[in-house]
Amino acid sequence: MTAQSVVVDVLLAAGVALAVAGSVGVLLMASPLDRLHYVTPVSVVSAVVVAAAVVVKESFDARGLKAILVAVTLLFLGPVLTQATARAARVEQHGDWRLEAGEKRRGRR
Amino acid sequence: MQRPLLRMAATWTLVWATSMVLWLWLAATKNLSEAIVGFGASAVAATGLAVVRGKDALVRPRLAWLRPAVALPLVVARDTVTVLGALWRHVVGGQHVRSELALVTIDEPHDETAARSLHLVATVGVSLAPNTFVVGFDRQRGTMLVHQLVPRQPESVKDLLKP
Amino acid sequence: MNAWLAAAAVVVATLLPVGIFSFRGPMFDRVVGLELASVLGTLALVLLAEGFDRDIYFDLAVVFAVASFAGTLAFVRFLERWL
Repeated sequence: MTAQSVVVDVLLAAGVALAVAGSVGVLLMASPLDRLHYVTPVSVVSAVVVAAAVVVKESFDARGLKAILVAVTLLFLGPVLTQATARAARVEQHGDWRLEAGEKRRGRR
Repeated sequence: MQRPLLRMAATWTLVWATSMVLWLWLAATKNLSEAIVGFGASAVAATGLAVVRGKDALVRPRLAWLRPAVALPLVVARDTVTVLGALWRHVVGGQHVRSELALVTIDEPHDETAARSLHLVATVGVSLAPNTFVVGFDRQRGTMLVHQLVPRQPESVKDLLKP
Repeated sequence: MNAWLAAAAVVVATLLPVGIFSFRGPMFDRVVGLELASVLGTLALVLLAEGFDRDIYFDLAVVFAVASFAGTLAFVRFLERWL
């Protein structure tokens, strides 16, 4: 068991644990906006950690670069999709994404 | 008339060169016929971007907007712990999450392209951290609506990106 | 079985309840489920690429990440404006 394989195993365990925790969060939360918060740890942190595991194993060859490309793609596209979904969910719920006059800011929506 | 065309040509060349380098690195091949295919594919990509972009840039981010990105890894790490903590309290302690919407001020540029660029940078930067994501921008009022799982009462964009 | 395949197995197993969740319930809850499933699928492909030592799965992961983003965005825009 080399130091490299230990580092890879730790990174993999962390990435997978985060993916499972994020999935539990999405399943258990009450509203779409609350659920969206648990997609981000998977698309941002888990993706970066898994890509890091690949880079530790493969270094910066074609495989390492492709893993980085996957992580960067998820990093940039994830937040854009989250914003679009949140906005659409607000429009579906309230007719407009903006806060209504007198609308409470606190709560599940 | 000539300067926009020169700018388009420069952008086309830059995009083509970047795509070509990426192709060669990702394909990891020294085969000439594959390189020629990469040449063509990069040309198609550069042309597509030039057509979509037209004479003006789609986005033109300012360097000053990217400075808070230095603290982003810390903010992401902190917020990951925050949302996992909220999940733990929900599962083990039965405490429901009390998420909140918040209006934060944002300095909207007058220029349409600059405003679009700022919205993109702010959306990606703020929404990378799990505890917060952007819902929308109100240009007239100079505000950005965000949703926070664990509320922190932010007033400005800087508050959101402070570690 | 190596660590990569074990990790991929856990991620694919997680896809099952998320997939079931995406079939039921209010519309936007299901859209969030779809987004998460897309990310889990992408991660699974990367892990399987290393586990099976197949370069092509990395390419699949990149294409899947982009294509699933475009598809989900199309759903979201459609739901916002026309339904």
